Amino acid sequence: MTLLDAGIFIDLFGIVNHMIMNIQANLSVNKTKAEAYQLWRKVEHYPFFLKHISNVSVVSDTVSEWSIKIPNEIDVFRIRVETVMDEVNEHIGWQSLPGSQMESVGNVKFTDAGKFGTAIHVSLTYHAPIGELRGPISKLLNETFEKLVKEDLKNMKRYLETGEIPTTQGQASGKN
Amino acid sequence: MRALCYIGTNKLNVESVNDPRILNPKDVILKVALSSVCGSDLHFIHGFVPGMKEGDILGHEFAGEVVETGSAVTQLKKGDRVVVAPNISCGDCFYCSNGDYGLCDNSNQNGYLQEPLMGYPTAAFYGCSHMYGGYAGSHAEYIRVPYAEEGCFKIPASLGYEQALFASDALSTGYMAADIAVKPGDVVVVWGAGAVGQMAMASAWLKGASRVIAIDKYSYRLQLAMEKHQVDAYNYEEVDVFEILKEATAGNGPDVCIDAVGMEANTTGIEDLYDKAKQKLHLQMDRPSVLRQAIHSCRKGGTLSIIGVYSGLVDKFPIGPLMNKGITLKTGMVNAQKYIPTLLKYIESGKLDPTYLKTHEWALEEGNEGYQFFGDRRNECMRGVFLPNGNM
Repeated sequence: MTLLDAGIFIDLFGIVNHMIMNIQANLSVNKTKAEAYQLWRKVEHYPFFLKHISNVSVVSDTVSEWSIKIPNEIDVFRIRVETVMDEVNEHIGWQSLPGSQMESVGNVKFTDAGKFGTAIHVSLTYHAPIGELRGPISKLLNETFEKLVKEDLKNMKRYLETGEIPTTQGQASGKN
Repeated sequence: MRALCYIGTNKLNVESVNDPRILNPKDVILKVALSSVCGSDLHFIHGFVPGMKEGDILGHEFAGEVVETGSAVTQLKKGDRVVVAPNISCGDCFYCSNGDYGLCDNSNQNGYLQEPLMGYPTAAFYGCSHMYGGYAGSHAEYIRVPYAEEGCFKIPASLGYEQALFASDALSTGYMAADIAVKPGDVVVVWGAGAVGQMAMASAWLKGASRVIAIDKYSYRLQLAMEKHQVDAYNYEEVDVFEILKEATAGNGPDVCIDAVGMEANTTGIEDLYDKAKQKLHLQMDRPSVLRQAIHSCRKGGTLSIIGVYSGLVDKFPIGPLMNKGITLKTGMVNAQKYIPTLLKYIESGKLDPTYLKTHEWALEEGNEGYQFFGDRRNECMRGVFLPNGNM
């Protein structure tokens, strides 16, 4: 395992730490490829089910601005994203544009999953400057973020299949 | 509102809590008319299922009146009387679409807590461990019902709440135990003559069983099984179960063995002490003595149907006999949404009447004591039912 694989490297000049997050996920949805593609094509909907993206502003048909939260609850990174691949019902790819506060590359592919509907293959990479966090703390942050994004993708499935995301936040409890 | 809450192992209390509110468009709020205890609640109360938290509201078998509907609800309206499935299921995923509602992909937002043990998460349940979603249960004046059009079933005008209540869980679970295993002509043995076991016996007859046998140790339950379901009944503390079943089947063993007991099974002798000690020491999560006896007793090529609840790992599981005898294993959490419409018709037509399962009525404030004597099988208790709003 390299330091990069572990998600961390320290800038050679000691100026800043970086966190690299590579997240791969595969899951199926009981929907057609066209329905799955349509959901992913509407970037403005992402914050509803991808909780690590707190806001999306559409700039043009291919460019949008995203606010990415990493789970130290402090840092929000603004990135300008361009759709670089758009093959209808098959494949969407994007990458951050120069000037963004962190770099990001991602793509999502849609394939037939037979009786399970459509398989969605997601690949996401975030390359974030994270100030003075070092070693174990940074690694923990990385793992936490990966879990968060994977739960986000399950929420994508829930939203796509049912139109809502299950929650118990705000329910009655003797702990209130 | 008032709600019966889990405080800690073997400790419950009625707390004043916030009223439930609509959190998602497909939710409804019910005013709870009846909410039953269940043997699986005891597993949580006794501390054998991880993931309970202080303040959790118990209860998953219930019926009530719709008092508020979410913006996406069109098939239910204020005033509807409904009985509700104990499992929370979306109705839209692959599993729900195939009738496997207990395996819903979407309802359990805490599914990640199950994944290390199970690989893939199950549906959520009301009033249950947070591994199963952590949804507030029905031992309360009001309850929020998510995916309400999937989980709520209108009670026919000819039926009261009392007649419909057990279609929620005891009957749907018992019916499923027979539905997944019993073929016409089968000899069926049911371990556990509690509410679910009694309903499994009734359902085995509906599925065409030629003979039904009950195994338990409580005489009042065996007596009830004989009276209500015309079964042969045996106390496992008084007979050699294997020999009795061999004799009853011309030396072959029963075609179908139903485990309606689950993780807190009792047996006799050193095996009983061994299982209880290991569970107490957390060296195993479940006590598998009924499974051992059922696999030993089952005929070659027979079917074992498990609907008693298990939570995790067991010791001394007879995988060799199961494999070598070619026994088919059928199991699962209840797919209540699949069965409730049929069961309400059976109740309406008089083919099934589970009303007798309610042996006690309690106010929420009697919950602590009620669960204690339900758990101790005192006062001939089959099911105690809470009336959180008095008579509705």
